[in-house]
Amino acid sequence: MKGTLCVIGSFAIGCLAGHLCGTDMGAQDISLIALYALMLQVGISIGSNKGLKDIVASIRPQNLILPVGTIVGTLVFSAAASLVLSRWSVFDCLAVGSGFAYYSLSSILIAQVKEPTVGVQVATELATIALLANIFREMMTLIFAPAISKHLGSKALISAAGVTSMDVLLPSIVRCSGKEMIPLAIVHGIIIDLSVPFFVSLFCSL
Amino acid sequence: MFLGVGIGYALRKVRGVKVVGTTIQLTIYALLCLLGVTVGANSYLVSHLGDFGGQALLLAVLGLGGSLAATLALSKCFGKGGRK
Repeated sequence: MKGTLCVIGSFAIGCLAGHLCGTDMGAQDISLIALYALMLQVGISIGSNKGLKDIVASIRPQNLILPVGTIVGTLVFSAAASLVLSRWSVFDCLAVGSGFAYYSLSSILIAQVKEPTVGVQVATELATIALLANIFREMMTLIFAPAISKHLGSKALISAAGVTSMDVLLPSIVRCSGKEMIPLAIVHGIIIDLSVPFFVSLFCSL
Repeated sequence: MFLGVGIGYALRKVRGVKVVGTTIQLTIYALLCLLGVTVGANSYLVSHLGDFGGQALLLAVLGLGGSLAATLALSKCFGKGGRK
């Protein structure tokens, strides 16, 4: 509960600060540095694990099925959203869903690729929705990580995390499911990461 | 991250390296705060936040639900494959 409140509180304080100042104060540049710092720390955490060799040896080819499941499941359900959101086509919804919690890249790609065909206004709106949807996905997974791991299993938590299974959500995955899930979480994150530019560009151009 | 793995491996016998677990959590909170600053500073986004937020929430819930449903389906097809 304390962790959940810290997650929501951190985001809310940031929103308030940005709104009051009226400028992002270079937050995106600082975020990039903080993300590198996070990756370095995650690396140190992995490297200092005394069972690292056993973890690497535990990787199995069948574990590659999980990223495919994440992609197919997310895209099928995202397509269903177009039945409710009449303003957006099935391909628009697929483009948003194929961010897989990679909010920065997916929103930027959508804004750039959609603009020539639908104009700045509509492209910006869809990019904003992509930003929020993928932030929500990451935050919901952070908040519900213990419940997902407990009731649906460790692999469900990795799948829910999408691309963030290899960085932001990795500490939560380790805490909820154990360090033995690290190889699968990283392989999953890398594959999903590589798929984001492909799927977002594809669905934006259809 | 691979640089970190190398550093972590070199320092694996140093007792203080365990503090990295706490610093990771603090960095995540800082990243979420910075993300909030980016969202809060965008006046267009803020003024339409309710409308866009509702649509985004639906897409997020469906995307998350889809990946969970696929994992459960995989566990049915491949036995232990979908669950620990």
